[in-house]
Amino acid sequence: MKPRHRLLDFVGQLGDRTIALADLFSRHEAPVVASRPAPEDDLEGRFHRELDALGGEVIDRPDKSASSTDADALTSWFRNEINTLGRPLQVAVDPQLVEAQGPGHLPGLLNSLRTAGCDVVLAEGQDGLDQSTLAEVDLGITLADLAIAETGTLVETVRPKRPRALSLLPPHHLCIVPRSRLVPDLEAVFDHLGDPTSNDPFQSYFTCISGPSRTADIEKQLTIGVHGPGRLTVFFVDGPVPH
Amino acid sequence: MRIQTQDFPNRARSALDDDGLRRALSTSNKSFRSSRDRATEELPQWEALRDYGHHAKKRAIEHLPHALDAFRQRFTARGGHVHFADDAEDACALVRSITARHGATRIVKSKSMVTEEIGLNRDLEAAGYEVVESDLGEYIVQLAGEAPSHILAPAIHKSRQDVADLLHRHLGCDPNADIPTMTRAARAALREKFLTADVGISGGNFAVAESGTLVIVENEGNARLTTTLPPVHIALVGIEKVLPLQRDLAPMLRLLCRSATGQQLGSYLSLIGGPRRPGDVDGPEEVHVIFLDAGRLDLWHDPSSREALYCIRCGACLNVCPIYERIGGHAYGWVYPGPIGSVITPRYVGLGRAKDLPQASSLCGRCGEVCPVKIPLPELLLENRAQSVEQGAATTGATVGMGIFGRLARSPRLWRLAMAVGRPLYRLLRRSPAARWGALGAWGQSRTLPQPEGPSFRQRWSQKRQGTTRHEGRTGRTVP
Repeated sequence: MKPRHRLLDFVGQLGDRTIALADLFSRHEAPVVASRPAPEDDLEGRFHRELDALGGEVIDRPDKSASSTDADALTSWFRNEINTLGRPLQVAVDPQLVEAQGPGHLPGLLNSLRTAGCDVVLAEGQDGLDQSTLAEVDLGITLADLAIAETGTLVETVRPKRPRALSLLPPHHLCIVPRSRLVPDLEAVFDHLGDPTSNDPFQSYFTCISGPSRTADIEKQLTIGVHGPGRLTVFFVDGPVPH
Repeated sequence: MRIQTQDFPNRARSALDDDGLRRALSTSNKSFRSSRDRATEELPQWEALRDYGHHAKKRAIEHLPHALDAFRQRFTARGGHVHFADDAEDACALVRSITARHGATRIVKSKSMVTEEIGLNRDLEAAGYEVVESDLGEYIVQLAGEAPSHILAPAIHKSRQDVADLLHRHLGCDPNADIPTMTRAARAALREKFLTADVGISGGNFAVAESGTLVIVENEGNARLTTTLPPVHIALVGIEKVLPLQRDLAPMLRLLCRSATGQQLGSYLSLIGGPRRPGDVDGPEEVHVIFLDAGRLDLWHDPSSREALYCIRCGACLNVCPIYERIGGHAYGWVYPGPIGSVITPRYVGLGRAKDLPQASSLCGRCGEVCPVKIPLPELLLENRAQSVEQGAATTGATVGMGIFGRLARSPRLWRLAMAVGRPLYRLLRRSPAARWGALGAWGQSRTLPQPEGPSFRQRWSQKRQGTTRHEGRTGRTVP
């Protein structure tokens, strides 16, 4: 008969608990270094291509002249969505995007939404936005914390007043990506994390989103849009400061 | 899961007769293989990555107590809970103690092979909980009352008509629905469960020791929902899932995702370091990670089989296995099919009960070639066979036969004699009905025995030594 708490005892049979893991692991053999993909010049172009291949979309600025602002491009896009839908869009917005003076502020976004005819629900946490409300909304707009060019990936951690479910429950997710937050590869995200024992919100939780939700569980036929959003749209801005 | 490994010969035979299953498996395996091949061939550093993966797992497994302890320290420092469960009974009791404390009634689950091992769903349902699988494939097999048949695609053995019938019966879906319609019906049905579940139960792909991070990889979004919406999240994780350092994650994710589905990354990665913090708007209030032994420590204590613990459950070995492709997952009689199944199942359920599994291999070696962490699967299969024989699992016929072969092989004279008698006898019997019986029968039942051609090796060897440089075989071909 096996002794009880065998696994607990197994974990407890350590010698020196104070050795740093990195030292312990490299004690018996030289570290093996994993190669990273070669760096690329046009990160935004790469991201665009990857997201397209995944079935996501990037909002292209139709008029690249100086007089055309981010707000113009977004208003035009929101109008299109409403036309297609045939009714006003119910939209939930990441508070960082509308908080004046905040590092994530995207001026004109709220205006843009209202001009186009959207009904805006701000994500304000326990007072404002609960899960069932989020589940009824058509579009969730978030601000990316990072984005990965190599794989067309969006990275979101925990931010004040922003529900994790904002990019998950609504059937359509629009992500605003500051160009300064675009990194070359997945390794760069972990470089950014730094100390694994820090109090950075990334260490508490983050998610990496690569395209809309999908499955091939029935006869290996690809279907887009299962439990997560079936549509994923990205809009690049010069705006907010990097982390 | 109920153990039916001893039934393997019967189950395999009925699977071979199931044309629908074989078509489904053939399509599925080809699809997985071509995705995986494309994704790995485009990476010039793929082989170097595999070496890295092997060493990363080796470091974690060799220092397993440290790795588990480090994870526990970091995770609990952030308010998470870490438990260690010895076996199925332990783990199920632990889960029930957590759910009972919260007065839970409805539980939503994302995919976890470990929970299949311990029969968690059945245990919870017996205790009166409603348990809903949320991964589309798992949801389908749950409705059908079946076990999953593949590590990644649990319902791959079912045709779209099978699924349509199921959803028609349980959800009132149109019996002629196409796949997108069926998917939408499942989405709607499961959404309500996610929003009202008291507890979410998941598995885990990796547990990073250095940072205390639980990593979950998926495509559907159901794992994110399961681990975000309910107030309590319980994750069941085999102890072998540990990775040493934070910087190991990126390479391991590359290895896993490309090997499993040919994707660069799964659609969603969740990296969970603990429960929600004060001030967070959502996220579970409590997160529990239950590390499970359930036979893994035995594997760990046997140095000849420890490498089996490196498995990251990508499914690549299943997708290249000629045996799996012909009989499917259910024939193996337990949770893990294919080459990795044949390696670890006998260790978990007993070599005696699962002695047919390591035999179900052609030793073609493809599994070892595709394993992203370079587990020597063919060698481990042979090790299982050897240990199985040592424990007395060999049939009398096999023991006697090997004994005779051993005696002959040790004596050149006896060998020559046996060959002199055996060769003409074989030629005589080869095409006769006798080829389907007895010792030859196992081979001769479904194959024509090969025709021996030309002189024997010994004859050629002695001719060569006599200075003959060329010799014409029976067929007239020149043999150097």
